[in-house]
Amino acid sequence: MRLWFRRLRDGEARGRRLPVDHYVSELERVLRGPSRMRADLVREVRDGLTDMADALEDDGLVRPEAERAAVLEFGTVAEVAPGLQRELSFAQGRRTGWLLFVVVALQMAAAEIAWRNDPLAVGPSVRLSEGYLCLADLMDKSQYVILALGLAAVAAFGPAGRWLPAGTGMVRAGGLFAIVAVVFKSIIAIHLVALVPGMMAQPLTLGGAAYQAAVFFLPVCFVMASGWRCLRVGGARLRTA
Amino acid sequence: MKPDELRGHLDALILAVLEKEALHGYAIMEELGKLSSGAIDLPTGTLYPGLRRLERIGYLRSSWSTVGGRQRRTYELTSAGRRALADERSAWQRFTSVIGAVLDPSATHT
Repeated sequence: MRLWFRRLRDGEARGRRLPVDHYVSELERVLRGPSRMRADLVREVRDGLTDMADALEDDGLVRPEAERAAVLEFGTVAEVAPGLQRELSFAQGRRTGWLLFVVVALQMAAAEIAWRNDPLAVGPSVRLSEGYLCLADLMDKSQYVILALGLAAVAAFGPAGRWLPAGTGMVRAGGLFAIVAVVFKSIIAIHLVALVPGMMAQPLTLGGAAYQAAVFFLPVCFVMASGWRCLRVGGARLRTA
Repeated sequence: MKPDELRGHLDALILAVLEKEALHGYAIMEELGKLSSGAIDLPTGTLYPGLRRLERIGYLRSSWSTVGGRQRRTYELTSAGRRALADERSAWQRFTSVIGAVLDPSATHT
């Protein structure tokens, strides 16, 4: 209530924004990255500025002057935002690494279950060509590589940063890898299904379509979206006023 | 001291300030100013990326807590952060003794 009266007195209620509000809005506008972390960072900056302004106000400045001085002492958005943006980029890189790992692990488990239980794939009369088995082998190995690199991204953009300093270029590379990996894996997976004799003649039920969407199509879309965000935040050029 | 002079030492300074107790961003900056008798003059905003980086690499952990009736994100050292601080102190002592010996040779013979 006290704060409301102060702001009313200082003119904010008549439509003028105080310097801290203006600074925080500008920071919020230029930062890109996971929304929860971004909101958390902005809130922390606002708290820091408010604490500074309160201390200056206690020293005798009126509120707008105290906020102006706090903003000046804090550093310009152009000075502060790049460091915060770097941390947001790493958070996006970690998120994409986790998502890639979880999605590929889930799809490997789902494919394994289908492979072991589908009569078209494992029935006594099934004869799979040498080329088909090579493709299946390529799929297995590439999935293990993707899992390992997904975890490596989580580590590199997290605790491993104390030994191996990462750059935002690596976040972009990680995002590109995630997109290429799920597209590559999906193309091979479609071929592995289509090349099983008689598989394409099977009718697609509503339940089967929902299962395919939930386990394969949508998770791939999530990974691609997260990878795309890595490309955007990793190369974000901050446009400060 | 200006930001350029402190480059490379900010992490150690933050870890040292948090050695005794958990603090929020503004309190860390105040403590830095107090301990350095006002000689450390950094734009306060440059502290926050440093805090987040130290948290990312596991030297700090943070949580929202109530300080003076307000919610503030407070940071505290982890055990890895304490080890890193001890390493920074040893490295700094080696550095100052080596450089001191060269810049002021008479001091080492007294």
